[in-house]
Parts: sequence; C-alpha cells; structure tokens
Amino acid sequence: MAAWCSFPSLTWAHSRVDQGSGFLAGLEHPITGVDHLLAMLAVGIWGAQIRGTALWLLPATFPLIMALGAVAGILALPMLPIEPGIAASVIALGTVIALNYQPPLAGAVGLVSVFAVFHGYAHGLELPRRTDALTYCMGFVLATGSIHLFGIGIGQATRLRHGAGALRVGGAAIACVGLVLAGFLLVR
Amino acid sequence: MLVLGRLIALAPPVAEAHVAVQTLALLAGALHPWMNVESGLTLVGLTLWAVQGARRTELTPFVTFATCVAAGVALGLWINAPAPSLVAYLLALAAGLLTSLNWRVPPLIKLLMLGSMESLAGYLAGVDAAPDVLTPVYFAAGTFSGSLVVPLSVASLLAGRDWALVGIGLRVLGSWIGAISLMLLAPKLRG
Repeated sequence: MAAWCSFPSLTWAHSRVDQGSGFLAGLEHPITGVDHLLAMLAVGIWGAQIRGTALWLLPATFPLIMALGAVAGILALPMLPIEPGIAASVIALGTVIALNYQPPLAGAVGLVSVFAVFHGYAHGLELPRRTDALTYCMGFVLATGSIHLFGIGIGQATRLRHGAGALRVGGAAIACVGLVLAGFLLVR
Repeated sequence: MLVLGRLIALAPPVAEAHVAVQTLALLAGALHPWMNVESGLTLVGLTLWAVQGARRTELTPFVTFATCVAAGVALGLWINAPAPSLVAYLLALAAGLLTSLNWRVPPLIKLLMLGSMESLAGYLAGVDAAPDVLTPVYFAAGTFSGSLVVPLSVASLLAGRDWALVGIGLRVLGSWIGAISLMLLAPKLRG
C-alpha cells in the first residue's frame, strides 16, 4: 500500500480519464485507484464486522447511491469538493473498522450513502463520452460490487482467532492510507 | 426454364431453407429479449424478483411471465411504435429496486405487477427487433419458450439452496441492476 501511495498517478482512480474504453475500462477503473478500491473494500469489511442485516445492506446500498451520485455528476449538478470527500471516505471507513464501531443500522447506511455520493459523482463526471457508456457502466458496477464481496470475504476473518484484531489493524492501515491521500491533495 | 424451376422447387435444400429460417426465428425470439440490454436488464431483474420466495412447483408465475413477454413482443412487432428510451431504463431500474428491496406484496398483486412490466419490456424488445423479423409468429413463439425456460431454470437452480445466502445474493444482484440502469438513465436525462 505504501508503495502504491508513493505513485500518485496510479493511486487516483479519478485522474485516469483518457485510458481505456468500454467494459474493460469500467472493470479496471475501480480496481486501479487505491482511493476507490479501499473505500469499497472497507464497506464490505465494515458490513461483515457489524454483521446481521448490515452484511448485505451496506454493499447493496452503496452501488445504488453511487449511481445516484453518478447521475448528479453526469448532469453536472453542483456538488461539494469531490476529492477531499473521497479521501475523507477512506479515512472515515478505515477508522470505523479500526474502532469496531457498531452504530445503528440506519447510521451505518447513512454514512456509507454520503460517501457513495462522492464516489459516484466523481465517476459520473469522468464517464468518458466516447466510450461505450453501457458496457462501461456494467463493468464499473460489477467491479465495485465484486470488491464489496471481496471485502465481505475479508470481514469473515472475525470468525478466526485473532481475526477481529487483525481486521481492526487493517482498518487502521486503510485510514492511514486515506490520510496519505489527503496529504497528496494538500500538496497538489 | 419451367423444368429447371420445378427441379429447384423439388430439391430438399431449398425446402429446408424455410425450416432453417423458422428455426432461426425461434432461436432469435428466445434470445433477443434477454440479449437486448435494456429489456435484458429488466427481464433479469424481474426474474430474480419472481424467484424471490417462489417455489419450483409454482408454475403459474413463470407461465404468466412467458406469456406476458411473448404477448408484449408480438404487440411490439405488430404496432412497431418506438417508446422513449427512458422508459426502458426506468423499467430496468424498477425491476432492480424491487429485487434489491425484496418487495413483498400479495401474490396476485405481484403477478399483476410482473405481468404488466414484462409485457412492457417485451413490447420494447419487439419494437427493437421488428425491422429484422421475417416470421413474427415463430419469433413470438421463441420468446415464449425462452421466457419460460430461463426463469424456470433459475428457480430450479436455486430451489433447495440456503435461502438466507441466496436471498442476499439476489438483493445484491438487484442493486447492481438498479445501479447500472440509473447510470445509463443519466445520459438520456441529459439529452
């Protein structure tokens, strides 16, 4: 992760506008940006950490709200600064995992939804005009959902001995990466 | 020339060509509504919603499903009046949301909702296919069989599985369908 962060051009998914097109570009987009990747992973992990309904509700809510944010981005509706919001999402989601924070379900869904809007808006702005929007969106949503599922898989570590502790350490690492990304924003 | 014409008419390959056209129309009818992205998203979403809580032995929802899609396709082929593309994506969004929320309604209401949405999706697929369809009856018959076999196969696959996990999977898939539809809807809204 540290190595990844030392290469800002690779870490920011949202700066890679011109590369690729269609399904593969959509599939690649969330995976190649550490900000998006970590936030998606964290949503899955947090859902697994909270357990119960949150296990599926958070990963099911995120793509839908993210798509709403994308609609806002495509329509170029006014929005708060995007990149700080995305960096804040990585920090916040990493922190709640590190603290093993178990809010009421509505609170968790609300928090995840707010951050989903930022991620979606950024992707909506960047939806390449020349690319096949249909296959791009399909690839993008599939990749995002798959990262959530991967996060849920990682979150199952809570069932292992010392697994819960390891997850909290992982959450702290995610939050640290978020801080590094925020630092990049300040330097820019 | 007359003799030559009669010989050609008697030749089996020529006669078989008609069978081939009809078979292809059946196949195209079975696949087109599922392969056409707008109606495909809707039909997959509605299939998942129909499967949610349904048992394999309950044939009624699936026969209704297939009948409505085929009737919609036949109507689309006949009337051939294009609807705004917004409608297709709104329909897909609704199908995704219904599955994602696992919206539970009385069986009759669910059947009516499924029927009307499937008819509309079928109509849109029919309009889309209309210019290329030579044998509408075979195409519609193919649509019926495809729309019966696909949901029934999905239901058969899921029957007897751990419904807690299957339920989660269906909800997540529904949210993906909803998200894709929303993202595709936006450029249409933008114009």
